[in-house]
Amino acid sequence: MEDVLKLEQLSIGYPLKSGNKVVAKNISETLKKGELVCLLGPNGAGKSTLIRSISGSQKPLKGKVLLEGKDIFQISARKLAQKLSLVLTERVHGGMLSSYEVVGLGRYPYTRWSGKLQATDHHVIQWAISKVGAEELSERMLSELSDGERQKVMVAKALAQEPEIMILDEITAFLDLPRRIEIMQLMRQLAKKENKCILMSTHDMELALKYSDKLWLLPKNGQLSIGAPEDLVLNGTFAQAFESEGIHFDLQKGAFESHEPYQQQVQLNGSGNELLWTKKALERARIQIVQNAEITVSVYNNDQGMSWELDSKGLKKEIASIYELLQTINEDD
Amino acid sequence: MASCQSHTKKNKAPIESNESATSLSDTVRIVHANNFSVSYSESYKLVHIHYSSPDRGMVFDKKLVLVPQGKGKPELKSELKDAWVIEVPLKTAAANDDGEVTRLKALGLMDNIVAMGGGAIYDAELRKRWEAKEIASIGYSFHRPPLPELVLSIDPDILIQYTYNHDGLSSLEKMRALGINAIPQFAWAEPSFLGKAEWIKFTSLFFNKEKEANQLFEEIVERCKVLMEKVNQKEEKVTAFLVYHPSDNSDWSAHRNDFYASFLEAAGATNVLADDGPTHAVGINNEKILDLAKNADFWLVNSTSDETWPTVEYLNTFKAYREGQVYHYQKRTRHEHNAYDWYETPEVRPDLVLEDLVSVFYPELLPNHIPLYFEKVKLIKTK
Amino acid sequence: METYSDKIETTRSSPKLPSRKRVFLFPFLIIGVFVFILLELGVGTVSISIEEILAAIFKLDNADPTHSTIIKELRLPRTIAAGIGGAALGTAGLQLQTMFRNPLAGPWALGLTAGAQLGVATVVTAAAVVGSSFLENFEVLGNLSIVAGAMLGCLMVLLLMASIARYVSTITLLIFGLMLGYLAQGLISAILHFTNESQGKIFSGWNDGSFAGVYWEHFPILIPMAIIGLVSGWLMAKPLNAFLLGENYARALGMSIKRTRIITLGSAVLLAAPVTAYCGPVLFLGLIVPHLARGIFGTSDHRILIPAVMVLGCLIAMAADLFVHLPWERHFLHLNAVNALIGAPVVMWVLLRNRKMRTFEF
Repeated sequence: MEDVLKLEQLSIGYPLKSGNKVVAKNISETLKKGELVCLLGPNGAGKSTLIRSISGSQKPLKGKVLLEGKDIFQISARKLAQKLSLVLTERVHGGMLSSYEVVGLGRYPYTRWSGKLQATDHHVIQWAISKVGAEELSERMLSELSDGERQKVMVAKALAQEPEIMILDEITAFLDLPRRIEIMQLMRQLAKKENKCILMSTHDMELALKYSDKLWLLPKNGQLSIGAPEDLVLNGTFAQAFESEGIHFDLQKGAFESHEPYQQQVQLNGSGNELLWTKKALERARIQIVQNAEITVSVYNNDQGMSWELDSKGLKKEIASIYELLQTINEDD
Repeated sequence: MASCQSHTKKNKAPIESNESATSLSDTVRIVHANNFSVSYSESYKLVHIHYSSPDRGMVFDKKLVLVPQGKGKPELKSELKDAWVIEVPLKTAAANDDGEVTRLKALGLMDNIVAMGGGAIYDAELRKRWEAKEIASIGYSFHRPPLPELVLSIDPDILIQYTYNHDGLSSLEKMRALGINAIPQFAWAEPSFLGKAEWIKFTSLFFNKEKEANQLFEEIVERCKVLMEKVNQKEEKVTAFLVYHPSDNSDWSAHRNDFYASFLEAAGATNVLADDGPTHAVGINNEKILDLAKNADFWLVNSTSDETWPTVEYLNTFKAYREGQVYHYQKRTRHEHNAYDWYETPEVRPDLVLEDLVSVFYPELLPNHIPLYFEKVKLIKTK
Repeated sequence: METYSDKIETTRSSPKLPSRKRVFLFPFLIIGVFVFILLELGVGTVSISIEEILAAIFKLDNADPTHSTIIKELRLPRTIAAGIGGAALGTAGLQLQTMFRNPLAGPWALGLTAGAQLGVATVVTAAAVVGSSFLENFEVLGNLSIVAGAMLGCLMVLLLMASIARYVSTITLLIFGLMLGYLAQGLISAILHFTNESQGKIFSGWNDGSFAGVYWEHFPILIPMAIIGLVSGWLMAKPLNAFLLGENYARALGMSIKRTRIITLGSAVLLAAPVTAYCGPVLFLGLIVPHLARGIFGTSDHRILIPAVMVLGCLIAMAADLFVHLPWERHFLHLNAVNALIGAPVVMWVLLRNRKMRTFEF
């Protein structure tokens, strides 16, 4: 796969009078076409600084960012905008511009002084709109759209720049879960089908684990770790990066758990989806499932429907819902 | 240049006597007025208008060369290169000052008036002509700068402008730039009422009405002399002051060194507000008036009642107020037309005001005189 | 270079252009401008027919000399001043609203007008202190220096506003502008108080904007500045559109923020300062014209808006001026009174709408 962006011995941070404040250092890495890379890290670790340094809007302290072999800070703003496009967290108002016009602004680095769009520009705009599935939105004012719709339009704008690499900074921050998943899938599609190189910073660890080809993990100590999500999980880097945050990564479940201790122990019998969801409920209530316990919970699913049986030291109780089950266990306690 | 001048002189010498005999027969001599002067040359009248007011930063200095109609422009000395040359007599006149309109009427030039400041005029005949549209309006009201479009469409031979402030002066400049024969008038800035009345001679120059002007002015001077001789017999003088109370409750306007103030002295009263300041009305606040005028015998004012004045406690500090010697000068007023004779007839007949004042200050000198302009102010607050 | 046009199926090869329906309004507005020019020339205390107007302008033999003078010396300069003033203030208002991302920005609301006045006051006073002959030569000498003073004052205020804009909210900025206006007025009064009234000539009627004080001798300065301002403003239409997405997106599109700022704000000064120097403070026009243009054309696209505010500003200023100069019996309806009658409701409407729909920032 073709290399697009290369970081050479990059150190980022802020130059201060009292000496440089280094956010991360010695980063050497390559971003390739067709790859979706997610940048993960706790708040305050410096994700935004890294994004700004890579996208050419903040000078690094040391090292180089090479776009197609050229120093990104030597490339003219116009040329850079033709190679690299950005989508940001911020809500865009856009006044009384239609979505089509906003996507059309993606052609900014290609049009002449008057900003007049040629036939090819219109083709690219329509292609970009169809790629993000925003055909329905194109005639509407940007300001009338929901947050999710608006970010889709901004992604289309970034696509209309016909970039080699797209950098997205926490663009799902304002969105609800289905919208976040939709955007993630869209990014994956753009990486794979349109052969784009995509770097996105996000808070969604689980979505990042699931969808990205590569993870960039930036913990607070500034030691950037890079690898396939699974590699980072297995070698423990992933768990380490977030350790200080008071949560803990469950290797088996592939998800973060809180460190809160279990309150009780029960034995659980049953099968199927009923068993799975009962387990989840008990887990949430911080009740540990063990092989032998004083309390036994049995899940049944027969002709009469679902039911649960609670056996506490021989005292049996018939229960109709998971909610009641949890309450009963707590009362017994 | 020098040769040219001598050449003209040589050429002109023989004609000179003829001309002066025909068109410059009546001359005026300015005695009382400060702000203009007149001199005569062989073929033209030379009028010099000069006014400067350091306190307002206003300066006006201009020479007018009035030449007889149809004789062509005379060769002028270099110092007169900038002078305004006007062929006289003129026929049509417009003015945005009610006093000026009164002067024109007094000279028998009523038919020559084609436009004036508006319909707010006390004079019945002028008002009638204005209503019949025989006299047009050249602005929204008297004393406001005339509207250029109206003046241009009326195109009077002369526009005599009331140039009380910078607005008035810039309006004059504008009018002249448009080709209107606009002439400023500074009668209002004369320090004496006779000086102000003498401006009738100024007006007459443009219409060759010097004879009428001289006659009118001499009569007035004579009448005033008689009145002043009467009061001079009085050994003990009264004290008085003359102020204007604005409707918006800002400072009073005081007549301290202007022509209105000069009436008081002439009528045998000491003006307690007198000073050497500007020769126009000046602002004065409640505190200052009280300080200077609390012991004055007479209080002369524009308001017909004390309704909008300060509190009665304040007013009672004034001797004149306590004794009911507060007079206003607006007896001859037509409120329906917003017209005040005070600003009209006295312009050419200051003797009428003087006579009124003598009878107010010393009733015993003129026992049968009923004042034309003055009457007691309704003192509502004392009740 | 690789483009994506070839990737689109051939069936969709002719792109469906987005509707620009309302561009058809331009001819109507331009006709409106010509109608108002004729009305401005024909209506007034003296009414003049179209034949006479044409005869006067084209110097025909049958032209009535009085009416020719009225048209050429009074109404034509006034009409041109209103047209230029409206176009200039409208354009400056649009530039400021976009650059400050503030729907109620305008030359007056941001204190630029007051700054320009203060600049003129300072220049006039300084000149009067240096030599009293200045007063007499005011028309000749003062012409250029008062415009320079106005531009300097205007620029100082603009720089101040631009530097605080990043730290304060939109409403704070407007209140700041308002206070700057009062401050400038206070300073002007102080200048007049401590020198003497001699400069009163220049300031008489200065709190009341009017296009009637502009004459032919002012145009050699006013027109070139307005043209430079309008043309440079128009050239910035594309970057101003990018600015609608915010500074960060605009930069990411390859736009030079600094260059756009300098040219656009410089153009706003070139437009607002000379108009204020010659016409006094003309309120509301710069603020409302951009809103009316957006409302009429239904877009924020500056490529349409900039010509729209020029034509619309022209039209509204001439309409307001015409209203002032109708043959009234009295004279209370001054230009700013008429502007306030049109402008204040528009401002209130913007405020109400903006609170309801936060997204409608422009």
